Amino acid sequence: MPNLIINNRRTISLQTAEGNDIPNEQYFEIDESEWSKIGSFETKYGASIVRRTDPTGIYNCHGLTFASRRTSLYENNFLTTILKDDGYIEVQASDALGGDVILYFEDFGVTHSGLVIESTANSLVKIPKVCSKWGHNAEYIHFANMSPYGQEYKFYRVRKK
Amino acid sequence: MNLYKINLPELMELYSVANTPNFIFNKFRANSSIRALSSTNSSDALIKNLDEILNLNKLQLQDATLAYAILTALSLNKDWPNFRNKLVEQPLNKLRWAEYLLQLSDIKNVITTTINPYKPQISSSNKFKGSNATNSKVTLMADNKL
Repeated sequence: MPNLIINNRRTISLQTAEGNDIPNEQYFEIDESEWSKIGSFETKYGASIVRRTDPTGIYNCHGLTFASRRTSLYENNFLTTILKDDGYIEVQASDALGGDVILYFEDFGVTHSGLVIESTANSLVKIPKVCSKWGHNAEYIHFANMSPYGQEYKFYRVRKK
Repeated sequence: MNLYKINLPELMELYSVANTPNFIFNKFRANSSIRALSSTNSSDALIKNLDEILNLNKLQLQDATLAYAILTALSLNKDWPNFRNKLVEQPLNKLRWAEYLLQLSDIKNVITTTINPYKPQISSSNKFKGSNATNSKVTLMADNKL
């Protein structure tokens, strides 16, 4: 039976491949200001980004990347659990392929994540293209280095034995 | 309240792309204008202004940004433990991540408080731990080797 929605929030059952629980939260409300943010993102990044969804509070960037867009994940500690339990290994940017994961970092840890959708093969621009969700806002398709989350990022791929 | 030092455009930009409570917490605490807000206003004044914002019918982007800024400024004040309980009386459920921010602030304040060697320390890694998590003490940093 689904968990109750309380204060516009709900959690769902979510586990790693090893069966460890991952805390999560769905949020069923979107602030009207999200629509004005779209305009400011488009002004700032221009044609280098493509918006592919409307704003939603159900999932965040990590929920897109690791929970199939079903919920939001907040804790960096549990990202570590997921990467370990699900068997992710780091790959070089030049080797990144569609389906790989990108993580952005700052000194306090992971700040953002997304999915690679286009490798650098057959491209003059040697930077992978990714799909990620920005804040409470929408999903955007963008080059890995063209986002509000900085220039420090790494790529990961599941390697199950 | 002395808001002239707040760099609202910069904070709104940060808030616009915040994807986790940790993101806001770390970015806002590191922001010099929020530190100035904290040092130039009493906790009473900050709470009064927070109250006014939270009683608005609908929070626009700048209202929500300012509310999180005030919450963060409050958590930076030395008298945070005394005022922490007053926040329970606020309609904080209007802010999606207010409760998370309060908990993160509690942890931060415990950690930065002088440690009494005769009392057990509180582990920050236990605060949001799920029931079956096994390796929550590992943190993902930029130079982390997985």
